[in-house]
Amino acid sequence: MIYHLRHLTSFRYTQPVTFVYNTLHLKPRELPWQKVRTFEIDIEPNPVVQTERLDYFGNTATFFMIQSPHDAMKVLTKSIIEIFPRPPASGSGIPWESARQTMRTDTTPLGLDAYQYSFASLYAKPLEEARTYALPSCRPGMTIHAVAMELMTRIDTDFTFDPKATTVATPVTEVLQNRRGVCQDFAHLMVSCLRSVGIAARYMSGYIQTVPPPGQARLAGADASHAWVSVYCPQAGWLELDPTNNQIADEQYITLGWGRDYQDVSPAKGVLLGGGKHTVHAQVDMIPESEIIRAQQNRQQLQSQNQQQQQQSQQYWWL
Amino acid sequence: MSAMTDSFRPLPGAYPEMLAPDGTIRPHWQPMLRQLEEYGARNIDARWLRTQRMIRENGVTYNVYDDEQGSSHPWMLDPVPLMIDPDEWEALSAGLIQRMKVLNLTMADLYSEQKLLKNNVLPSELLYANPNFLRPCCQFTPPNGQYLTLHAVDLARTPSGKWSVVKDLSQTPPGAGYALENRLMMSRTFPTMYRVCGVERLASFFATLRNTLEGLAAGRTLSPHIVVLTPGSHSSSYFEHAYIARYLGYPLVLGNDLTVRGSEVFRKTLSGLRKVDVILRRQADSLCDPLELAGDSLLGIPGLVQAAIDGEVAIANALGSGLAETPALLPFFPTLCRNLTGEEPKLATLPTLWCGQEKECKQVLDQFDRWVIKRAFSDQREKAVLVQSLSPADRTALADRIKAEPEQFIAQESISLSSSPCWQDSQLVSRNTMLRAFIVATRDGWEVMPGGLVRTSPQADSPIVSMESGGGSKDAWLKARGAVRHVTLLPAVEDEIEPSRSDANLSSRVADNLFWLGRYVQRADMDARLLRTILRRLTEETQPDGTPELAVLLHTLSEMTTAEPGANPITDPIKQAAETKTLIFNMIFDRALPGNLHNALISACSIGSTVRERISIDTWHILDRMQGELQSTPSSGDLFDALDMLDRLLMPLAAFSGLSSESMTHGYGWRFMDMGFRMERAVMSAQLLQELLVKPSSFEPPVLDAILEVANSAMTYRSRYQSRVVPLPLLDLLLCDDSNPRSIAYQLVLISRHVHALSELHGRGRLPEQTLADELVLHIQNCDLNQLAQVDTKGRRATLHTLLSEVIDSVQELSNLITHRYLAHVDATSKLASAYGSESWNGEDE
Repeated sequence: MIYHLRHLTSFRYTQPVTFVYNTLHLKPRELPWQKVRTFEIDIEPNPVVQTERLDYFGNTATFFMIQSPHDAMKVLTKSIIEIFPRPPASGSGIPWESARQTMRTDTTPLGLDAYQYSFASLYAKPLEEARTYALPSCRPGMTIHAVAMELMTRIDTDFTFDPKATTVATPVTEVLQNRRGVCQDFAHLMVSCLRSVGIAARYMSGYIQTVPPPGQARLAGADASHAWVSVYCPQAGWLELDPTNNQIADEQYITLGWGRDYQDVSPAKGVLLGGGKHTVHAQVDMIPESEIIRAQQNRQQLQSQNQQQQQQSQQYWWL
Repeated sequence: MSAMTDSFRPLPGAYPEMLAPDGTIRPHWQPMLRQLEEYGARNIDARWLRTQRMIRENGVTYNVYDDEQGSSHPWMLDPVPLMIDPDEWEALSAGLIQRMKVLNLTMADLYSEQKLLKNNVLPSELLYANPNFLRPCCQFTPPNGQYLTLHAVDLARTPSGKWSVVKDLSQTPPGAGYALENRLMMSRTFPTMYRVCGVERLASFFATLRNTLEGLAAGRTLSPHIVVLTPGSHSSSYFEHAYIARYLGYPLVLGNDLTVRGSEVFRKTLSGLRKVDVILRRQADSLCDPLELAGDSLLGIPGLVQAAIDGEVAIANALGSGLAETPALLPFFPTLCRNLTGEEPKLATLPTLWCGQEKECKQVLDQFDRWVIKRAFSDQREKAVLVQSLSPADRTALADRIKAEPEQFIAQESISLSSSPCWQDSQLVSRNTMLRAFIVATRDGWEVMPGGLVRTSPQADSPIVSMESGGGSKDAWLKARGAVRHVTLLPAVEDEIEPSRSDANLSSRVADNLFWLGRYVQRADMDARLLRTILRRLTEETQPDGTPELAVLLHTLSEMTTAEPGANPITDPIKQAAETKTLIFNMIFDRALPGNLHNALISACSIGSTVRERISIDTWHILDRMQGELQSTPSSGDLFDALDMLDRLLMPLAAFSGLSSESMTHGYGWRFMDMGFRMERAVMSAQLLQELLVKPSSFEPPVLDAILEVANSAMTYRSRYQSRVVPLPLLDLLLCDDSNPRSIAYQLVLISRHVHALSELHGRGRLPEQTLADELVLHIQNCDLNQLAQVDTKGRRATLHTLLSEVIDSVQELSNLITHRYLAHVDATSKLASAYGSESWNGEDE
């Protein structure tokens, strides 16, 4: 699949902002199943400093600083991304009970890297409440992947998607109590649950393509930033699961990056001086290239029809 | 040996620092003890009393976090130094230097390749479960690969006499400044003893620290700008931060004083931004950059990590160095040492087990009584627990906590700390003792401070030694080999310092604090004078016809201190005696009433403590004395007690402006303080006249008398007019006479002078505040006194009211303009976050 991705984030402030320091995680990550063909980023007003670096987790971080007073800021990224099917899990994996013991003795680079995702992080701690929720899905002998799949389905069933229920900083305990939230909350919850039973899980940040209902046109800006979960199973590798949509991540998912939780990989985080209150508005278009080509063809057809009509009218005029 | 040591007994089971096994005095203690004998107990007591007063007055304090009042405690110093055997010290130093090498290499590896994990030298949980491991710090290597510039190690001596490491302090290693202050006090109190013992000086250690810090900027600049970063005056060792800054000659800054522009760090000063090359950091890692390190906090300097990545600023110790003090690393030190240097460790570690390992955890729980339990990753959140001292229920609870989260705990063997002599009740007694050693990086290695900070237990039977639990401290004396080296921190070549009379480099925040110090001191002065005027009338029978002005004075008091007007205002203060007393005492003592005397004084003292390095010691003593007067007077006393207190308070208040004017150079810092002082006096005087003169009562003279008393101008008036007080000359004296230092005109003239002097900092054309200040002075000078004194048909002096309102508004406007132009723009900081979903709000709720 090839996607044309356009992500516009607009910030508006009630009072002028004098300084902004910002770290973005908005460049899609280069992966065996994800090729970044083009990528550009455009920030307004113009930053005095803008640098790119790889962070600890291997994601691209863009740091920028704006030093002129402004009351609105725009960050626009445009990219063309090619997604291939993710490689299937290599084997069935090991039982969940032996996850911790197996991981702690694995000092290969891959094993070490995976192991760090089984520890507490700011937004995804292995809480007792999460463990209580997770345990019914952890029956003796089940593989790690089986546990994670069941957990994903349960979260999808038990929880209601509700953008008004939570904010960026709603703790997992509150989500567990109210049973409402957005993708970010469900991802944090699922990561907490997995960590609480000794399984390594990371937080994935990216986009998901929305498919318009049959017969309806795609709405501009209707696609969305998205968050899901990746679970590690020694011997079988990583498996990406989306508790918000109860499905395995496939070619509809573009990956920006990953970390222990939202804090490590939030699309834009910053500190600003002044500004009073601020609003953030995000607009994402993730359009398959096939649709763009079709649209272009349609437009050309339309244009040529128009031209014909114009020619007719011109002819008429000349008459 | 003598009477002083005859009755002395070391603690049982502990290594005796002073006595050899056969009961004789160890040789390296003898010269010092002989001197103590010579001084004699009474002399020691007398000298020590003086020193303790000096410690208190110099404000040597240690802030205790869990203290309810958040107050600072005077530093406890014992007059008997801990004597160190030079041979023993040599071995100890070698061990400490080796330790530094190993810790620095460990940091370098964990923040880059992590071979220690890959090669199974360290269990990976040590890093992954460790909040002190800050992943963003993997993106840079500090200058010279030096993570630890200054490090501290807590050492204890086991009963067998072996020094062992108890704890590393690498993040903001506290204590070196206190050690220096201890040394200063000791050498001043016992100069002969100090000289005879031939003690190794500490100055060379700080000279090395300074060289090393300058070296961190090598290749970028020849004359680096170095600052000391402190979390602020609430921090437990703020005194030390200010002390080290002053000793090394670097400005002391808060996070707010620094700003990242481009990829460079700057300090905000009165004359603009000044580039910072090196930061000596006394602020915890996680509070240094809210963008990268803080999680959900807003403290710190946004962009600092990026500046460190870009290599434009050196930070000592490097960001992320809190990792090196992880208690759970202690048991792995021998392995790290062998692996990283190929050497055997030269210095023992106190037996420590990390419960994150199965076998070790079992060992801890099996012999539970043997241990002191501490947190594995950050020992500041929770105090160490001595298992022996727990009740059976608490023991079980602790064991359960360890079983639930084993990797969060370490166990350290509980030992009897060595016993050293301390001075108490005119004799030597024994206390448990620990030594904090300090190590500084040099160009090509490390150097150990020849001495250290000794800490002792508060009682003979309390094994836990810390300042928080009320223990004391000692100086540590090491006899110099050969002649004592004299090192001074003054530059070797005199012409290295260019003469400069300007303090334009003053931090904007410091100027801001000086400004407010001036305002609060003056507010306290006016409050106290008004209160005294009222109290005198309540306690003395001054006039045969009673005191008709009291009601209006009380009303003024509540107006000027912004108190909520009472439900029924006091109309007859003599009859409503109880209400009157309550009102007055609230105005003096109430801790929660904004604008009252207590508030003004406490604010002045707390601001004063943040700019201590800028005001003279004597000025600081005055602030300290004022706070003392207020706090030593019980709020349960009667009106006479309160009046006495105000009388005692007004002396230092009056002395404050005189002393600061005499002892501070009249640079920009002083100008800001004096301007604050003048603005407050102008505004409060104008308010006083508005309250008391605009609506004259039927019989005005007693009110006019009271005004003169509050304005401290009664003497001048009487010497000029020798008559009853009448409005017109009073107005002249208090409003327009610019030779009366209490008049409004006088304040405005001085404010105007300061405003003009400050404009030199700006250097471009005439500024609006200059025009405003000039206009205000002219306005007062040209006013028509007859018209101002006239009462109109409604019984008011309306023209006077208008003029005074103009004065108040214009001074406020000037204050705003000055603040805006020169002082810290402490804009509210907020965090920006994109959210999932399309729209989100941040900031206060609507």
